[in-house]
Parts: sequence; structure tokens; C-alpha cells
Amino acid sequence: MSAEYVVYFQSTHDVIKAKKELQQACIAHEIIPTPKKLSSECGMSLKVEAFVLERVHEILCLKGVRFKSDLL
Amino acid sequence: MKTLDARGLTCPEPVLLTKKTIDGGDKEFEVLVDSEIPKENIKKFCSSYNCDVEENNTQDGWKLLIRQKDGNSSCADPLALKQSLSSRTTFLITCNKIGINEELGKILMEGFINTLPSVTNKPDQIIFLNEGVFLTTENSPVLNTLKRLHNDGVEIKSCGTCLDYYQLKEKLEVGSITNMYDTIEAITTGNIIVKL
Repeated sequence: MSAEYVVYFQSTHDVIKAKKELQQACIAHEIIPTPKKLSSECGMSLKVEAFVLERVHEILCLKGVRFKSDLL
Repeated sequence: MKTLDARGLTCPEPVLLTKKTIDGGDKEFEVLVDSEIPKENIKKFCSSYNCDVEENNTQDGWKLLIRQKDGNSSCADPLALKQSLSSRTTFLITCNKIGINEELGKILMEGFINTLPSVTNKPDQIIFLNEGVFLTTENSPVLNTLKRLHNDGVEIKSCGTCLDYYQLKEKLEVGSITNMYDTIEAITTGNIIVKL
């Protein structure tokens, strides 16, 4: 199983936007609570597998979604 | 031997008819059913009611031979049943979102379910009703998590009437089909109920 990454955001609206974009791009993801170790203003994050992380970065940057990512 | 004809009856009637017959003192009888859902519900009910069920195919469905287990003069022991279930926690999920706002509500529901595997006190069972059945069927965003919970021993149940209404019966991906009898039993047997 490949490593998993958490993609976290500054606002809930960013989560919603990111989820829509990933759905449109058919990229598998899961909504998860933001891990406590990460400081985030939003309680929900996205979990993605390592092999799609680069693509996720590209899409979210292109769409202007503010995010950070970290190994889960 | 008495034969109950439950063919064509809708849930929970076949189960209630079976319960009434057991409560009436019949030690051995047959029930005819013509659909998978009442058959499974009767079998589940019988296992919690200390009865054996033998299933046989018929031309238009199944014949269930129900026998009260040996050494138990009163098959139905509601108190024992109640006690065996009393510390159980049940979540009733009646929608595929939390709250009214569709967009936010769906995110919250996904987050809620995806958090469950990591909590210490998991619910014993989760019953999905109405739009909640969209979470246990094909294209649900939380199928993997529900399957993980199911493998960890959490009972996942979906309302048969609801699956039927949304034409999702063939698309159920996790857990089993249940009826209103089970749902009411979960509420009335001293369980902790959380409705979402």
C-alpha cells in the first residue's frame, strides 16, 4: 500500500472546492478530520495516496485553492 | 405442523407474524416467503429469539422451518434479549448529510464516518434509513470506511424499504438489510441511540 498524505486547508470553503476539483479529475480521496498534530484553521482535510499527490498539487494550485500537505 | 404464508407480505409483517407464532407457543412451524429481505430478517430474528431455522427452496421462494431450541421451555425471553443488548450503542443515520446545508452537510457526514475507525468507543451498530442508504451503496464516498468498520465488528444495516424506494437493493455494498422491527428493537431495548 502506498503512503498516504493529508492535504489540509485554511477554510472549509477551500475543502469543498478542493473536493469538487478532485472529483472532477477522478482522483480518489477521502474526507478526514485534520490530524491534531497539524495546525489548521479547518477541521476537515483530504486524504490522498502518494502517487496522486503531485497531480493534486497541480490541480489545486491551478484552481487557486490554498492548501498544505503532509505525510499522514 | 402449522404453515404461515408470508408470501407477498411487506416488512416487517413476516417477522411480526413469526414472532406472534413463537410467542403463541408453537415449537415447530414453517414460514413461506417469496423475497430475500423477509427471509433474512426472519433468520436474524430467530437467532436472537433462540430458535433454529432450516431453509429450503420452493418453486416461488423459500420455506423456513423454525424450531425452538431444546432445553428452553419459553423460547421468547424478552428480558434476556433486552439484557443482551442493553449496553449497545446504535447510530441511526437518516440522511447522507449532517444538517440542512447540502454542500457542507455532505463533507461533515464523510468526516464523521471517516473518523469512526479511529475512536476508542465505536458504535455497536449503525442503521441507515431514508437517504442514509446512499452511504452504504454503490458510489458512496465512505464505502471503504464502512467496510473497515464492518470488518471490525460494527454491524452495518440498511433499511430494506429505503433501498427499495431508491432502487438501490442490488447496489448494497456493505452490511445487511434490515427492517423497522430491528430498528425499533434497537431503540426500545435500552440502547444508547444517536440519531443523525
